[in-house]
Amino acid sequence: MWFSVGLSLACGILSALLSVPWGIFWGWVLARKHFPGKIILQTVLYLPLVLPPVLTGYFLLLILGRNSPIGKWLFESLHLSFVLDWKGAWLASVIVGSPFMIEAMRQAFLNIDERFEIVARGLGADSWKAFFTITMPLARGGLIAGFFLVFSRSIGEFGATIILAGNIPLKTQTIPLAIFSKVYSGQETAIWPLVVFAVIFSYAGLALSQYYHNRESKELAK
Amino acid sequence: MRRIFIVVLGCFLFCIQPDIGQTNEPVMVFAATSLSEVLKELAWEFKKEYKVDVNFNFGGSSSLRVQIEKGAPCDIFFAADKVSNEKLLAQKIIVEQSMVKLLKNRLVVVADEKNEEVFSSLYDIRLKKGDHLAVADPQTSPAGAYAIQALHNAGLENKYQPFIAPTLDVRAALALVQSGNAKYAIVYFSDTKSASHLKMLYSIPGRLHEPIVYTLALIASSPRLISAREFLSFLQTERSKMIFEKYGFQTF
Repeated sequence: MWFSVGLSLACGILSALLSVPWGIFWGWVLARKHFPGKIILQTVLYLPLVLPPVLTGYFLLLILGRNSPIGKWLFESLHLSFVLDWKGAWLASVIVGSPFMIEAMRQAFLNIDERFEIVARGLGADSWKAFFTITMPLARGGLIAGFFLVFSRSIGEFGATIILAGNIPLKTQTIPLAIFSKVYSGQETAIWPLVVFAVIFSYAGLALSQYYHNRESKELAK
Repeated sequence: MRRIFIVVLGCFLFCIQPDIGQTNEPVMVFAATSLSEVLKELAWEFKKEYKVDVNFNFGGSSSLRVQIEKGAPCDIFFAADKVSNEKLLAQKIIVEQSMVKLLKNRLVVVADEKNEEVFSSLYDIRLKKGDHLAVADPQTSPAGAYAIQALHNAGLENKYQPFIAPTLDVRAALALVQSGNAKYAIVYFSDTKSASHLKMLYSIPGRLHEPIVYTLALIASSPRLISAREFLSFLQTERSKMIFEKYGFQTF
């Protein structure tokens, strides 16, 4: 049981961390850039939100499986395997959770007046400096809210994980997979400690996300 | 708005059908995944003769047993072991006199068709880091329990433990080999009959695990006992036994 709790926690934190640069980049592109086909790109980036996670997992399996060129290359030259491996559980969480981060960052950037950056550049800062000293501190609330939202989504991830990483006890079995196995094999009393942790993690992640989101909205209203 | 509401309500009411005890209601069979192809053919034969449909819920026998214990609507339980039915018998869920041992099966080690290895025993299984040996989850499927038992009795359980990938049922183990994501799988001989891109490397001797005996029984609370009994006897006819044998099962 402790393994599943630890794995879920690790996957949640690592997914949220990995989605930070990913979310900042795409959130900024979607908030500030206008180009033909933007709606297509945006839809593709947000698609894992609504696609059956099982299908997301299946696509990942097709791309990263041992018989695909990419999966073969990753395994043979880098000894990296996502299939039937805990890294698969992590990757599944990142793919399914990252749209939350992109959306949080997009909203945050949209709420920041672009003129602040223009003024900063006018005062001699280059674009990078303007972004990191002006824009990012203002978008901090959105970043933290997005971080915890991805974490919460990761705790709930099931479909893509079971397809890509499998359900291997002490290897890829996260909390939802452990609950599934125990329900399926009739060990219902054993699920309750897992249920407690799942609820605590999800609740805490969501509550923190809401807190930072509300705080940011309040600051902007000032 | 009100009109929409009435239409929606009407749709819901339409879904609720009164439960009328029709004579030709389909029989519901809960069966081990390894039986999926053969039972579909038998159900088709049965329908031709008796004009009764047979529906299936396939899965690992232990997980099916849990569903039946929870009251899932089922008329016949066809398990890949004896224990599952015995557990139901202890709770008086199945009809004792109806319980029959019908089939025997054996375990084999399979790999991708490109695998060139020659096997003379289980000790020829070669696994390195990143390789997987797929078996059905022993918690939910007898196939996995038999496989782990065979590895245990060969003294190999601890050695291969880090490589074992438990799957939802026996067919999922086979699929992992077919997709190239597991190097080997331990499955039933009968599973290899309807599968492609596979090579059977080794037939595991029956002395390494308890006998693989498929048992079936009637569920006592079944509202369709007559047609269920008909299907149960149909499965035990010589003609059905020939079909079972065609799919790689041995009959009693």
